[in-house]
Amino acid sequence: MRKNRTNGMKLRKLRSQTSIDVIGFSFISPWLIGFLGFIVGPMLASLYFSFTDYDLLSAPTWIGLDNYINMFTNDERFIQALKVTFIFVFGSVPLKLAFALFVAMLFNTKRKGIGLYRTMYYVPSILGGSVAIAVVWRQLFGRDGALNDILAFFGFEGTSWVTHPDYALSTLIILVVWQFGSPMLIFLAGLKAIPYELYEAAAVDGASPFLQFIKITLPMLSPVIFFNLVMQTIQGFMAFTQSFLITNGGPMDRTLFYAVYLYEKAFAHFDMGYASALAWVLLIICAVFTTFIFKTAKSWVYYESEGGN
Amino acid sequence: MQKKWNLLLLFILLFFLCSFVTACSSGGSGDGDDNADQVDDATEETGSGDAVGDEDAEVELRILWWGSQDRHNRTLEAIDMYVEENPHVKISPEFTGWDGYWEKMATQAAGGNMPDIVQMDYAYLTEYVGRDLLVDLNPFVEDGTLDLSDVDDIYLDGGKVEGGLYAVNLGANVHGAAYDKEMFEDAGVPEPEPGYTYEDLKSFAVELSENLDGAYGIQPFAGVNNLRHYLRQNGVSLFNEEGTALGYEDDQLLIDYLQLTVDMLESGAAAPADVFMDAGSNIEQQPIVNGETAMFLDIYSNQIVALESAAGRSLELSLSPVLEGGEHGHFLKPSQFFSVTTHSKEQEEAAKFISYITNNLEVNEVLNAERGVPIAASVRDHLRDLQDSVGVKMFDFVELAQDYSKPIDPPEPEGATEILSLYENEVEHAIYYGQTTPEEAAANFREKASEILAKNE
Repeated sequence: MRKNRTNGMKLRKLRSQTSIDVIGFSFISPWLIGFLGFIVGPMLASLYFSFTDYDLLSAPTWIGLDNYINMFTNDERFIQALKVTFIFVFGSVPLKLAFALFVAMLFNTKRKGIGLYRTMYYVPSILGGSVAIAVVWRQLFGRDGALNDILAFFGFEGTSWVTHPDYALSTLIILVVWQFGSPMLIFLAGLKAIPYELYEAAAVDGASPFLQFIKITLPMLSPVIFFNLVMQTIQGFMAFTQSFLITNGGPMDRTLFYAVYLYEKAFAHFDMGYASALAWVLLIICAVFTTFIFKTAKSWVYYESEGGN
Repeated sequence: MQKKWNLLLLFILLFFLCSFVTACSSGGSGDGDDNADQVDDATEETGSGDAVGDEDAEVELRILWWGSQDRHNRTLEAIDMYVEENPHVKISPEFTGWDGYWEKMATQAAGGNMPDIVQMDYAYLTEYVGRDLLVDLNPFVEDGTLDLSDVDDIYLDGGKVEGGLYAVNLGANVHGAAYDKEMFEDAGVPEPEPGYTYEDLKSFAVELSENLDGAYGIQPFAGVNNLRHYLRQNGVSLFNEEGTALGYEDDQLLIDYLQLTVDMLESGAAAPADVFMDAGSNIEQQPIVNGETAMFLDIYSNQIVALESAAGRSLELSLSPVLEGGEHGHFLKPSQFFSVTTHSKEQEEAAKFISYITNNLEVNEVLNAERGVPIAASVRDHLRDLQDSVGVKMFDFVELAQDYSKPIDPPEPEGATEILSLYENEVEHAIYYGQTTPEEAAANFREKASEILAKNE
């Protein structure tokens, strides 16, 4: 009897294990199919195309590493796109994070109607890189734009900021900094999670608000800062719509984001092979930067549960 | 805790990166490997698949074009008229704006699934003919299916590649200039008469700038359209016949051309970059619209309609400046074509449709020269009488320009789009902003353009 029972249990256990697997996999199958069919498949295809000369209209021909070699030895616009993208990322990400944190701290108080303000300040992020925003930006920073009207009031004469080679990129950086909504919300959640007692204790010990910010807020918030930093950096490298819609890479390639260059190669010049190679190089660049941030994280990100180690 | 964070981050990261690489290559993924086979198959099929004679058999056509909403409405109505007269034909229209049009068509070509009739542009013609995607329509012209007896050769030449007629022009445009007659009068400057030279322009533009209050004489023109014009006047073209190199040997030509702009910016004859760069290629926003310049030298004749309606006042068309001792620079530009694709199984019906669009008077009343001045003489005469004042200007300008024209340059070689953006970025805009000299720009352009074109050898 006893023997039988254990055998039966084992069998049932075994059967249930496989059936649990089957059930599990079938539950995630929509995602799985989508992932394999629409992400892994195309990725492999794009890896293959990156070693070919492919113009969509005729069959791809294998050219080995030529696309990659060409890119690094003989493509000034690639270098220009890299330069622009790096300036954009290093300019916009710190500014955006600082601004988002600043606004989040303003919102981390109990005041009347704070919920309404929070919603309103999130609106720019919802608008995203839309055509409407492109029009608005041209209106703000164009020759007859609002900014120049303000400057004129103080007696300065402005120029057309969005189309001037020296200033166009800055207007795009301002645009993404203005769309600080999502990091702000994450910061806000992080701020709310910091125990109030810490501030209380610090205040009793006579720490100034600035010192409290440096010694309590920043360390306690560092995992969230880390998260936002990684996300924004990646998004920065992938930025496309801002430049595509507002300046279209111009003037004189001064706002030629990497993704815009890639798009141009693929869909304006039908150089799909080269564009695929560009995409893979970008993937590697993103990976390198993210790894770098992860590596440095140990020295500045503080996890409460691990007692600061 | 840290591990969990890191895992979560890595996962999100992976997801983002994946979707990015995928998004950027999705156009290219697909069944790339069998394209060539499919295209071949399609060609073979059409060889035997011409259903001739059987009048009652149901015929289905697909037509693809780009354009504005106005064009969509007009074209759809024209299609209805054709179907009414030919009840056995069913037509499914496909239409988009210019953005995305060529991506769509390239994808269809790759999938062996192009519509029967596609709207074609001069810049893409050689590329599609070179890949055996378009049908030579000469046989249909010979057997009378496609009636072009009323059409002058000068209107048809643009659609020919090595003797084959691969595209039928839907309307003719001429590149030229627009000016504000009243501003010229206010400044006491005589209007530009046909035959005025670059030197004339330089001097009367300064005069305009000086005599007009708060407005410039002209908008400078360092763009590629006027460069083509200038090169043609010098007896050369932007690209050589084979499309393997630039069509001009002497960089001095480009230098002289750019020097015009530099001089006119310096003398105050031309508006500085600030004034017009905001507008981009958007015709409705050019500074002439609100009277900031008196003359705008980069316009196609059909754009005068949009320009006038944006300005809300009457503007005139004028020829481009003449080069002393030079050749004619103007040409009749096919605004766009209809082509029949090799994927089509109903090529004869497709040719019949194009013939109808070309010659039928009623259908052209509906289309109303929106694609440019019609190519059939009787249609042109018929429509001219029905035009409002701005339409008449456009028709008469195209007529006038014929006397100042010579045949069109060969279609654009592969890689031309890349060269055009190179020109805009590193020559035109750089000159406007004074960030380069004509000499540097010309040398730089030759070096980089030659490299792109060398791939065609």
